Amino acid sequence: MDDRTSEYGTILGADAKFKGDLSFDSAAKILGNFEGAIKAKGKVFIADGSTCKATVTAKEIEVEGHIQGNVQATERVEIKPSGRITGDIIAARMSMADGASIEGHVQIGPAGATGAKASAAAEMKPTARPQSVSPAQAARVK
Amino acid sequence: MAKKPSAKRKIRCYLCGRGFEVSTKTMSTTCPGCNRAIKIEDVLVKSYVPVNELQTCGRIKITKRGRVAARQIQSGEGIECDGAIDANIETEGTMKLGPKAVWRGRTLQSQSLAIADGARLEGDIIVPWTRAEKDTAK
Repeated sequence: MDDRTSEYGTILGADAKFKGDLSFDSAAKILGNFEGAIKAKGKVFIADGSTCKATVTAKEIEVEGHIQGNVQATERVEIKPSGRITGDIIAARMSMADGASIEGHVQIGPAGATGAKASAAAEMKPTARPQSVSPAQAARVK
Repeated sequence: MAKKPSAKRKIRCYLCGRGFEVSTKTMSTTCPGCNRAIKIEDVLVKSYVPVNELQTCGRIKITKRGRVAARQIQSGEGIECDGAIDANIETEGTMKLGPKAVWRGRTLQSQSLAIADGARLEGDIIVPWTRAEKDTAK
């Protein structure tokens, strides 16, 4: 394994097709086709040639492939020359290379960071909604 | 003595999309497609510029102290911004945003986009984008 691959705890192979939700605590690398949602506390790398029809939420997102879906990064999004994003982007910082393509609404800056953090926090810790409990249910719980 | 033929430059009208050649020294001309006056020279913005439309077939450069507040900015050869832009942008060149650049608008359409780490953006982006030639034949 090369150095670049070894920094990623989770790797979705180039010949893999995945449908569903994935969440990681560390870094993840997507080489194949992914459909669903990705949530990571670390970095997500979408490799060249891979397609992601997904909502991607992470600390850092690096794109060399194609993402069809909304992208939200608490820190930064980096789009390489071969990278393509079709969807909305919210991030604190973004760097985009000449040749990359974007189609969607973009919000980059401190407002984007707070927005991303707030929504990430909301997703991670769903707010406890007051529930109406009948006296009978309360008695059962006790 | 024969006069040297002046160097030519290919441009496209930002109003109708018609492509034609002009001398490199030309600063403005009339478009043969739509017969309207168009600006060709490069634009340098060093301070606050509130305008309705900022249009040129050339390049637009906004320095770090420059700020453009407009309804629309159209540039044929690209925009380089180190300051702030509050406008819709259409460019057939490259849109370059420096590390301290700020863009806010409804749409940003450009051939290519280069964003330095630290730039702030808010709005819809369509990249790559090319201007469609309007049918001006009557």
